[in-house]
Amino acid sequence: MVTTAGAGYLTETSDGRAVDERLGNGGLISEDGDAGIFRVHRRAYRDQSLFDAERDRIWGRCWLYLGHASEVPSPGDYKVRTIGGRELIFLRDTNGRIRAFLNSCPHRGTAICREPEGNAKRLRCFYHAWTFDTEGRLVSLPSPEAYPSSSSFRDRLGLRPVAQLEVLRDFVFICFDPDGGDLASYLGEAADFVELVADHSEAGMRVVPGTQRYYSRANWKLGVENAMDGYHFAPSHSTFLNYLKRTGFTTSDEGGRGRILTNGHVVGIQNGHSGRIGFDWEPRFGEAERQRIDGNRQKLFDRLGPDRASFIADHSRTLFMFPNLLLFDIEGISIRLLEPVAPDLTQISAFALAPADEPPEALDVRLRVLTSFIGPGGLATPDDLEAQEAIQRAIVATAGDRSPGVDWNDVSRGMATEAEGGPLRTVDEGRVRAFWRHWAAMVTAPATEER
Amino acid sequence: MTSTTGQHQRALEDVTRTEVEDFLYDEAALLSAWQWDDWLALFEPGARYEVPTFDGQRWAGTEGQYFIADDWDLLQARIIRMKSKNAHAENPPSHTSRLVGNVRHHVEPDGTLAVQANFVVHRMRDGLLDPYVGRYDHRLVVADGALRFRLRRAVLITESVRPGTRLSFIL
Repeated sequence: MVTTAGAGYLTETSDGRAVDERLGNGGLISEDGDAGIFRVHRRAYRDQSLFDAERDRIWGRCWLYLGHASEVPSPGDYKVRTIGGRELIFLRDTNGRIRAFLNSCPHRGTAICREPEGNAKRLRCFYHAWTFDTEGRLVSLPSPEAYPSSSSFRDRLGLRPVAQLEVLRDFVFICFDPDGGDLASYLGEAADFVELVADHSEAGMRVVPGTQRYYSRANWKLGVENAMDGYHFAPSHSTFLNYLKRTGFTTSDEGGRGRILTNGHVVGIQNGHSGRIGFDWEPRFGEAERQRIDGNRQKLFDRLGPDRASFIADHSRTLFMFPNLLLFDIEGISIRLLEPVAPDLTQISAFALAPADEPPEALDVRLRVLTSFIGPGGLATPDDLEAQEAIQRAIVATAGDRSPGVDWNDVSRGMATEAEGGPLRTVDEGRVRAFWRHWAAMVTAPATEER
Repeated sequence: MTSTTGQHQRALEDVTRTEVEDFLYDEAALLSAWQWDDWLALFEPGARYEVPTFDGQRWAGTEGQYFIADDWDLLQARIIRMKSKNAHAENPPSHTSRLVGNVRHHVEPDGTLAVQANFVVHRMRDGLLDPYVGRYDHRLVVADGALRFRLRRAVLITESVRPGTRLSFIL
């Protein structure tokens, strides 16, 4: 049986035109369980009206990762960060509480924070000198006698907070939808994969200064697919694997297992896939780190017990939290934030997370090892970006082609095995399919103004 | 000050700006021509290549996250990769045009030559032209009478480079 998700989208484009008129096609994903075929229509990566629908139905409704509390350690610390297309002030107020406000003055719309980061007891708009405290209250404005004297007037003109903000073990999440439910319900079992990272150190975890911020000239969903696809690892990253081999270490994605969680979240789990700073030695970590690992493991096992400690120390995990967080708990920990800019442009921010009490020598190894793979200057990530950009450039070739199957991508690997109850291997595409199913359901939901 | 150190520092102090400029221009030509072995020969063994993140520049390489933090092993791995057909991000290769200017230098107390210069590197690939603007903040030494990198540091001055921040080529 062929089922097609996305039929509901046909009458719901933001510009009012029917999709089938333009594309001559029934839906966004096409799934034939009997034949073991799963396809994604290529307009999912390039269509502006779908991008607009995502802004509303996905980025306007889902919980989104904002940042880590350690990025704003002191009262008054703030960062300016764009999430889901909205520029936000991510700050710790003078009472120590984490908050997020839209970075736009309620008066005439000016950006209030024009530096990417800083510390402030008061937030002041330079244009007319309206001044707010770190809890968002309007505390002073020049010549107030010309305004209504009622307190409700001032109350109405405070900084606009995001609808919801919750913190899970220093991981800060926001939701622009006041009716979006709570974070725990949204994360479900994904929460534990965040907590496993938080559990690495008794002293807590901190984001190391220095953001790897870069762009991919490709759709954000290609970044999700890439991270949830172990199939590409060997062919795409042979130069990195050869480098590892020369250091005396071999690895492969075979043996990795995926898990499909709720709400579009998926995870990949590998046993002995790579070394792990602090827990599992590789030759390139050096002799000092080998000696430190023994004591560090013992502390972890004493604190958490053998089951959880072994799950942390001996396994790598890559969590995708729908839609914007990739949490790599691999050789080191990399928090990757995806921010769509346009259908064919994505901003990516990668943060390195480390135990707050990690000795400088170990931190040095961690950052060097992480950066050897990760980021726009690594020995591997640039090839991932190359793949995503090469897809984005090339799928224009088939746009508008109505021949059956031509304007579709295939995501079928492992589908038949999984249907028979076989394992969900990370080298198959099962996690990518789970992502697409959830995406199609979200993006074809009724628009917010029609709810 | 011992006489040995003194002679070493005097030798560095004899280095002229023209020599430093010639070193940087010749290096730029090697990079644009993809002459990797000749380029690597400009480093002393154990040297490093670094590109800090935009907001990580006030941190030393061991304290903050970098775009590139190559020790000698990683730098050699990078060059082996560059020569491989499987360095997909650089196959086909980027073409670069490199302008280096505002060259200044002075001798540091640690016996290295600090070299600062501005750069504008234009990278051509995929039918696009991307500018990279920044400064070099190198540490050089004299070995066998020739200038050599001990630390090659390229610092992007932009908050973010909108397109193609990929640093799969040498900045």
